[in-house]
Amino acid sequence: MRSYILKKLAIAVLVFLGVYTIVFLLCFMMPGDPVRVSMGLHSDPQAVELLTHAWGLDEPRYVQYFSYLKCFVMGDWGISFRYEDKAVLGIILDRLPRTAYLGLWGIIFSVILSIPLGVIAAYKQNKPPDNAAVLISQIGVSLPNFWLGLMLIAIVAVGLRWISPIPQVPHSELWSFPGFFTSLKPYSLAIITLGTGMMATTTRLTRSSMLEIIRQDYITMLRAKGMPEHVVILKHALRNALIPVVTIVGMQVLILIGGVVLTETVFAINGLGRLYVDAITARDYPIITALTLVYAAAVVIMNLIVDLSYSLIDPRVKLG
Amino acid sequence: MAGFSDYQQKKEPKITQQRKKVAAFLVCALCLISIKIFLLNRETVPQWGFRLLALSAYLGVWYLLLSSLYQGWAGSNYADRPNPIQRFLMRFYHNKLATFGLFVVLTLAVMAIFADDIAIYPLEYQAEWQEFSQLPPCREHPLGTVTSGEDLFSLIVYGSRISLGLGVSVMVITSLVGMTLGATAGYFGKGTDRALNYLNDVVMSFPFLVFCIVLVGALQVNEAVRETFANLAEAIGVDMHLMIIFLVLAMLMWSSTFRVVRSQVLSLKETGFVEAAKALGGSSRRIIFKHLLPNTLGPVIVLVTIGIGSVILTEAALSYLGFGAEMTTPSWGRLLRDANPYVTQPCYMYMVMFPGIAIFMSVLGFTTMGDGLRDAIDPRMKV
Repeated sequence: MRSYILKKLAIAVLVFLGVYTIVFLLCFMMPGDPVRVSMGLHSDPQAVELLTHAWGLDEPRYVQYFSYLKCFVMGDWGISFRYEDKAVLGIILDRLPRTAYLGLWGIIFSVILSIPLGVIAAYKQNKPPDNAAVLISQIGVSLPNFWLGLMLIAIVAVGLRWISPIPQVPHSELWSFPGFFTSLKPYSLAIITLGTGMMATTTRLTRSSMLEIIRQDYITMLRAKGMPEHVVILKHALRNALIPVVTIVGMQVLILIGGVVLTETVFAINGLGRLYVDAITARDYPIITALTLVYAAAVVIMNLIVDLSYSLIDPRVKLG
Repeated sequence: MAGFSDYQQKKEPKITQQRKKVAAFLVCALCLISIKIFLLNRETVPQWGFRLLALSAYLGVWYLLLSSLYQGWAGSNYADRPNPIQRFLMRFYHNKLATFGLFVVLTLAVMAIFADDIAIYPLEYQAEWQEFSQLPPCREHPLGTVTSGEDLFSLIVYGSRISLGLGVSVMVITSLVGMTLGATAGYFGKGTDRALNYLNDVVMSFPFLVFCIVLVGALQVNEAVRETFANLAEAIGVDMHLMIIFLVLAMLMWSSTFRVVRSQVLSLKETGFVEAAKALGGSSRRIIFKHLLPNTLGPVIVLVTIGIGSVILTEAALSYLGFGAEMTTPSWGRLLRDANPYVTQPCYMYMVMFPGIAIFMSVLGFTTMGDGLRDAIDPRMKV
């Protein structure tokens, strides 16, 4: 077990380095000098030179590569080019609450809806509830994320005037006690937009997983023993069916990041997704690199957790 | 006696049957060519309704021709002993959602191929259209007009060319690349497998959409490269930004095909027929291309179909964020981006609704068709 974790960690570090190398190369391949983007095209050449030196962009590339890597690992993620004199770590932590709130409620929304739907669809296979659930999951997968957001704004916020189109909640209120639930209403459209795609995939997965489990012999045995149906389905079948679902939900969390970018753009939320896109436009290399590395680290950690939990939950799985 | 006259009927001699077939084929060909040249032409038939009628007639004649050719090739004992292709088709058509998906995909294909005839207004922008900017749906413009005065329906029809063309070309390239890499990794194992898996892990560790955005920017490294791309795009006849999106997506989307083909090859590697081929002295290349890869085609076809849907969604998302097609290209995502400022004004909602419906319906068609293909090829396939 221990050697398995160590081996996985070693590969993870290599992947991390590979990601860093690619991001570093891509940043410098993008046309446009960040100094000129920040200062404007017709700026004083002396000032441009000073700023280039201050940002460390005049050193040879390999020096920049290793020095940033060293600083990153130590915890100093650099100073943003775009927001003068603000540390990258500070900017990211500043915007993290909104994205985390949106992401968390998106996952909760999708899981709460998808698992019951998947169970019902599997239980009544090929009958109307199943056909409806399959259709809903197909629609959820095919809906363009940002279009759903735009239509929700147009219909609910503008047409019916139930909610304001842009959620304006100060982020001190988001993660405080009553604020955690009262902020749900302004953010509800964004949460629905974000969670729909994930809900569709998880419904389909729960349904197929439950279908496999229900056909097993031990379920027939439980029914033969005289157990009430709801105990059979909810206590025994569902628990086993959730094993692959739990692993896929872990992966879905990472796919959610792409959805977060679009949702934050549509609803004008100041979160990490918008920060990422704005940083690319503004050629803000420290932020681009830092966010990419954070995401890569999250992917690696999530893969590790999923592998380990799979082996913990299902005793038949052997690692290595 | 009642049935006696049946035995009296003479069968036609074979040569008359052949002559009839040739005559029918020539009549069909003549119909098709004449409809295509005279009736499906914007100059000779300016009315849109007549062009649609001519198009339906054209497609009807094609359908009759192709189905009679298929009947002649397959024979007509459909119900008695269906061959595997017929069984597959029966399973596919039994799934109503999949048949609907196929219908949507075929409609999209027709819209893309015959875009010049289905669109009411031509693609080249004419300056006098500016005064018709932002009209709601009316008789001359069934879906209304956009800010620049172009007809929304024609833009959506021409946009189907971009979506379908980009989707099919990206998925063909990525499936070929993914199959080759997956088969190599699965068959040779050890170092090759580890290296390719490492590459796959690195590519998957990036957030997909953001990585696309970064790559779109990074591919235009300097002026010389942009010049090359522009010339190449002009030579092929596509927009330069669409070509860059094609390259970016082709570089990123081979992951899923790679994983599926690799796992299939790993499980097929130990089977009897591969061992026999090796014993008979088959080279690795022959074993991979003749034995292993044809057995992986089922899941790959399903992935290609569903992949076209996700390519359409990604291209629309990139164009919506501003990193994709530019102002003159009728991409559906770009239409949504132009409509973005008008979301809060209910009178302009048609500009937001129709391109989105187009994206949604085409992706829905591809995903339902892909699911139906999966169930029809092998209900127990895990893709």
